[in-house]
Amino acid sequence: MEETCKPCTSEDLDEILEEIWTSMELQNEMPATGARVPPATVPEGERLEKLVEEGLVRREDKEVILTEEGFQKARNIIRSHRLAERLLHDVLNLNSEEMERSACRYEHMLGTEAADSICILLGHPRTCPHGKPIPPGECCECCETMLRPLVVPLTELDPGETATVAYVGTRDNARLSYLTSLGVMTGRPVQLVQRHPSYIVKIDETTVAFDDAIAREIFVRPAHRKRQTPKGGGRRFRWRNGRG
Amino acid sequence: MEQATKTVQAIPLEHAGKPGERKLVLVGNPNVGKSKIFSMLTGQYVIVSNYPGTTVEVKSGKATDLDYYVVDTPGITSVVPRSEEERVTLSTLLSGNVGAVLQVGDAQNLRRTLLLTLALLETDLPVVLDLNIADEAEKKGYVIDTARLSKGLRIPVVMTVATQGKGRPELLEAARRPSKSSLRIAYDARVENAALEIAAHLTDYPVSKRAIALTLLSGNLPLIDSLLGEGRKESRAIKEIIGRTQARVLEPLSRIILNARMALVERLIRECVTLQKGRGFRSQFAEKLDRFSTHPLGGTLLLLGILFVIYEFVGVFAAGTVVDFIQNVVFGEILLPPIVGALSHVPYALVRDFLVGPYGQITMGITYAIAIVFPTVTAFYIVFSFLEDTGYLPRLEVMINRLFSLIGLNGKAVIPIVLGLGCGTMAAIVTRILETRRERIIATLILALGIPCAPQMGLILGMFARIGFIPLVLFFVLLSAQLMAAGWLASKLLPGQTTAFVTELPPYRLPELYNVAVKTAYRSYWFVREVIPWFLLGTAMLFVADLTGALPGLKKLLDPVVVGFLSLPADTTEGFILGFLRREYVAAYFFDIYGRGLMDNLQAFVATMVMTLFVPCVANTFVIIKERGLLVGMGIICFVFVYAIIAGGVLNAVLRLLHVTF
Repeated sequence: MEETCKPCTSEDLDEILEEIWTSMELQNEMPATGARVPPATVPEGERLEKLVEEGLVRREDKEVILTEEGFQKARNIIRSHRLAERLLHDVLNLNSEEMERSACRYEHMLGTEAADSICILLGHPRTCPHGKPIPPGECCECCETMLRPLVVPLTELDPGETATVAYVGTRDNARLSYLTSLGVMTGRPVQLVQRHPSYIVKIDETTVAFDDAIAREIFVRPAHRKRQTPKGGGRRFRWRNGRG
Repeated sequence: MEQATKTVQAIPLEHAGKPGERKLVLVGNPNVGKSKIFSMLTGQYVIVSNYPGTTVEVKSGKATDLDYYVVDTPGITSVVPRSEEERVTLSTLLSGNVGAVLQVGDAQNLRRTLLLTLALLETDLPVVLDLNIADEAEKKGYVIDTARLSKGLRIPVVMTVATQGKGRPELLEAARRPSKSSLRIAYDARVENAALEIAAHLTDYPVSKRAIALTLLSGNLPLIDSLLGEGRKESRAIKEIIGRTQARVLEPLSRIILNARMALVERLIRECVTLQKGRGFRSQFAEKLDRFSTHPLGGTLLLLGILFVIYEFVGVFAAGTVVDFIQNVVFGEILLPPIVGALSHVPYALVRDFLVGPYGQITMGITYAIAIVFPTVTAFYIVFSFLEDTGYLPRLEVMINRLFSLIGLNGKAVIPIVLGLGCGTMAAIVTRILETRRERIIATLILALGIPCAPQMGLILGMFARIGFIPLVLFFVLLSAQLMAAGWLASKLLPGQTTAFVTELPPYRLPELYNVAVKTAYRSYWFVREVIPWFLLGTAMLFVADLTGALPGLKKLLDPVVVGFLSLPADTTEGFILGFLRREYVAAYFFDIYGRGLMDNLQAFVATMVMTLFVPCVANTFVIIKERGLLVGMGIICFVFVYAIIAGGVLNAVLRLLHVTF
């Protein structure tokens, strides 16, 4: 397996953008809109004119700057290329030479949606087989929350977060009865107030304090953060919370 | 032993009902106001506070307007007890002659209340449900249809505000017509079958066999042995049934039973409770204070602030200004001169000395009790009662839980330890709220070793108000370090593990000044009634010992220890002897001789430390032995005795070696 992720040799604009991105990475710069294109990768003559014409870069004094459009385009190409590498390497088990050759073709063919599908199929990989970061797509952002297990111990909640009790994982009968009688029972909404020096949660009108040992035994389903807008969602939740 | 029971009455604890009288047993979750309802029904005063675990013993009294003996019980959370005091409540229900059960519940926490109601209904005892704290529920906007709830549960349901005496007529009316509910919950078939099988092994009890069977299935295993006798054929058979049933279901049996009850509770709540827009109950301030007082930094600051207020109020004001005034002006100038004058006509020197001599009943016994100890204790009780009623103590548990886990205790132990600052005897009883024997022993040890009781604390603060604030801080740092070390060692020596900490935080409530005043008055009254005979007895003993020459002899005998090892004035020997009788006596004695300039600051520091660590008073010793058993009890007392003297000697040597002066 080769150590670096080489840009392909065709003289396409895509290739230039890819090279700019890669060399920025090599110099430990975060590729971004408005970033200076490393002088070594600035193309000459006609090809530079073409890039400017397409609105992918702009000239500023003697420097060449990446535009938003250029950045996005480069990002997509890199993403497609590295996802393709992952697919070919992990799933199809191709050798690295074959992988490189195919990936160079795939990167021009894959649209955003197709790339996302591969991304989902592969479980949102973070790096290419060479260890370079794969720029995350929209699908990955969703999965940030999706990836969080649906049921977590109470210790995983942040202070202020609300959740629904999934189950109390204790086989100690007295403790189970006690927690149930305090209102810590399946289906009840809880709000974590604080974690230190002891955990404090609110359930209905009851405030309960306990230590780690108990918090680890209470499993909850966190309220979906994305969907819960601070206004509507919060109020609706409180209303249900207060009932009874 | 008789004295011990008297001290127990520091919280009034007259024992269970008279035989033959029908009992109305008050049952409910902790901190819902059972004791207040008890007062309402019987007209008797009992201590009420705003934290779970105020009541740890059963108390009873004749109802004023009902044909019942009312029995107040410690709060329970479920029918599976977690600690000794919960067990007491359950055994009260099993004790027979129960005319009716009055369940007191928090109207705001209907789910929890009803969960317990359903368990109680299964006993086949007539039940009345009283939803208390109705005012707070109303302010939060809960509208509870009691008629409908009553129909659903098939028992009378009433609402009260016990603190204001509201709802008393309805409660009395309901208590006159309690009814057995015909409500039955159908559990999982396997549970039902097991319950039937178990019931076949049970003899008759005052409650239904089904209720006992379900409690056993819920995991209350110790109940089997206490009902049937350990190792008996029936109890083995029942254990076998439970084991077999559990093996056939995936979930714990207790969960299956609880889930069935919860389903019904949810249905009842859907039908009977509506939430309207409440006027809002919790003020922004209470909410903020709540967050602040359990915040790692805020809570610490608040605690230090509270301690400082106690120091200023109890130490500087009460033990300083007030005691000075009463001792020097009221007693010294107004009361004593005419008494001494009148007695000077008595021809017998012996009588004169007995009453107004250096060890006189009036000049020493009464003066110490009334002039020195009483104002200090009262001041301490005021602050203490106030704190109890705010709901601060459970927040302190949250703050201190981690610290206590180092010594094998959890946050719960804050309650007995803090109560120890009031009265060690009372605190030794309250250790019952702790879950394991190990925790109870550790807590008792710490209480006996170095938690100064109210009068001691007051007088320590009073003395340090003169010695200085920095030495006071040093004193408490040293004391806490020793207590932590002792607790840590005990936790290593005793087998077992620290139990997990769970507690309920009651809402902050503004203490009612009336309740604080009455509570303080009762506590001060009990205290005086309790303490004066001891002070007179102690003084009389000193008088006789002095007269017969035993006192000088004893002083001489103990000279190497007191003067040699501890570098204290020979007179302090008397103080330590008195310390066996009452802790506050030695405190008052030291306070007095320090005030008269017979001890320097360094000696006062050492003397105070030894006195604080020194053995608990007679009454406390009896209670410790009663609660912990003779062996453990005596072990604790002997350890404390030896340790106090050694620690005092070491402290003395180190302070002198380092040339510390205050």
